[in-house]
Amino acid sequence: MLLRPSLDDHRSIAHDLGRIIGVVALAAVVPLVWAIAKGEWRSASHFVLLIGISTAVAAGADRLRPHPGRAVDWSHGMVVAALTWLVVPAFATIPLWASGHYGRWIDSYFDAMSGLTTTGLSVIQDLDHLAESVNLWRHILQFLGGQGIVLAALMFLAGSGALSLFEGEGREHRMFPNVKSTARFIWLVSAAHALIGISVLTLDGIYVQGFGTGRALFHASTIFMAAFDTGGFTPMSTSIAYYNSPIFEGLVAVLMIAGAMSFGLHHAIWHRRRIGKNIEVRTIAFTFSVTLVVTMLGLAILGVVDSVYPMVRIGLFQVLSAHTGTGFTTVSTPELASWSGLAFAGIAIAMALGGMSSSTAGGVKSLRIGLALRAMRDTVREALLPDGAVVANTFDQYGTQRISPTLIRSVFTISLLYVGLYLLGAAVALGYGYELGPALFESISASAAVGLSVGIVSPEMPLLLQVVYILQMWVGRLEFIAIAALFGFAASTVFGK
Amino acid sequence: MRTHLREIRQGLRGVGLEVLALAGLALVATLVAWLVLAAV
Repeated sequence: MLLRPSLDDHRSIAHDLGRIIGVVALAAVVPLVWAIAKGEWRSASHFVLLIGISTAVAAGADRLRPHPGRAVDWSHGMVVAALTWLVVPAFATIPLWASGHYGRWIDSYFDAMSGLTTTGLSVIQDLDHLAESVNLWRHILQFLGGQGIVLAALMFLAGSGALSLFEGEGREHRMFPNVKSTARFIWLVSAAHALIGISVLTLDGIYVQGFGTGRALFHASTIFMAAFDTGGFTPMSTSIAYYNSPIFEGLVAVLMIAGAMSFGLHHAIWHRRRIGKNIEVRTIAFTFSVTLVVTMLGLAILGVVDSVYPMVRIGLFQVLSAHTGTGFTTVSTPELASWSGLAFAGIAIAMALGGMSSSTAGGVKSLRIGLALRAMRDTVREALLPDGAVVANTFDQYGTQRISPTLIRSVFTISLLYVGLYLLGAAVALGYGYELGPALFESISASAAVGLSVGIVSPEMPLLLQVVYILQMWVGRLEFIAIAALFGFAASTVFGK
Repeated sequence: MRTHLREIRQGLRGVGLEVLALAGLALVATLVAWLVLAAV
């Protein structure tokens, strides 16, 4: 029997959502200041509008404070997370839509969702002439979405409270005792990377690219936010190819790696723990090597590259961008679309696999891949070994942990759901007459929060396909369960007793 | 203050490790590229 949520439950969810919308209002002050400094008055007025509306909504929701002493449970957090990634883009889209760079309103919502889910697919028109403040806002959305998903992952996904599918994250103990210490650590790691990343990228901008200080700082800040949060937006339409600099690409690559590393791993490194046996590190090293070899082989066969240097520069950067779920590119969309065979497969598989858990990367994630491979190996071992022989069934992730049947079930369930999501988007694109390869590529890119495109995502794309991609970004980002919690909550509101 | 300084130092070491990781990757990638080109 479904229990109907009380009025207090609704008040509590609305209250939390209101606070998050308040954060959006606060974040919009940054592009507002930029717009005023740059004299972009039209954009400034749009940011004032956004701040006004979101502050009013946040203030209204604040009055819905639930009764004190009420415990916040796991499913409540999930519902708030699912609603956050659906509602916040609707607010964030105000300055985007008002900029006049989008054909339809849904285009601007698509970009806001793409930003908040750290995907990086974009249907903006004439990006190169977009006001700097609005461009900054697109990147701030990626930063907010990235930091938000890490916080949600560490709070809900890593929680041991509920015996849920989130055990697929394989964590049996909380790394941090409470929200405050979790948020503090995320902030510290991000601040350290921001300080170093933005400084070095700015220096590169001034001395290598020949930019003025202001322009260098703008490009450094936006690229940092998109790289560290594995987003993939760039201030210019030609992505990272715009800079045409191996030094710049190397710096960006370091930030992409940092972004796709789980915060547990950052924590372990910061506290000098050994990470060599960690299942995620080993799995990602393995899958990265395989996809890199496959892609390079493909590039060589296609004749795209004919010497070691371009092969390393193009191949390594593209596979890193795909595997970390960033979506930066150093080749043009038509060029990427012309990659067939092994090069295509290498990039697509890297995208589908994704980065580490509790990072901003999307996809199936290396922990699940590692656990699934381990389970298969153990099954074969058990079959081959004599009766009575004991197979250890453990893995290392910040300490030895046991592989339980519940854990394996959740790992396979989530992994299969991802495969289903990849196929769903591909099927819709096939229905519109696109070829299987590009249809699958674009679908994986949207679901795994990557952002690489072979050309289907464009301002002219069919409306239904665009809606499907929006849903894929939302569902893939929240790893299914938050969405299930939201639908469960809605169902119990309607049908509960 | 001392805690902050320690955290910043630890953070810098973390970033250093990431730079090393990329250097390692680039080295492996170069080797792979060389082998692939030799084979194709």
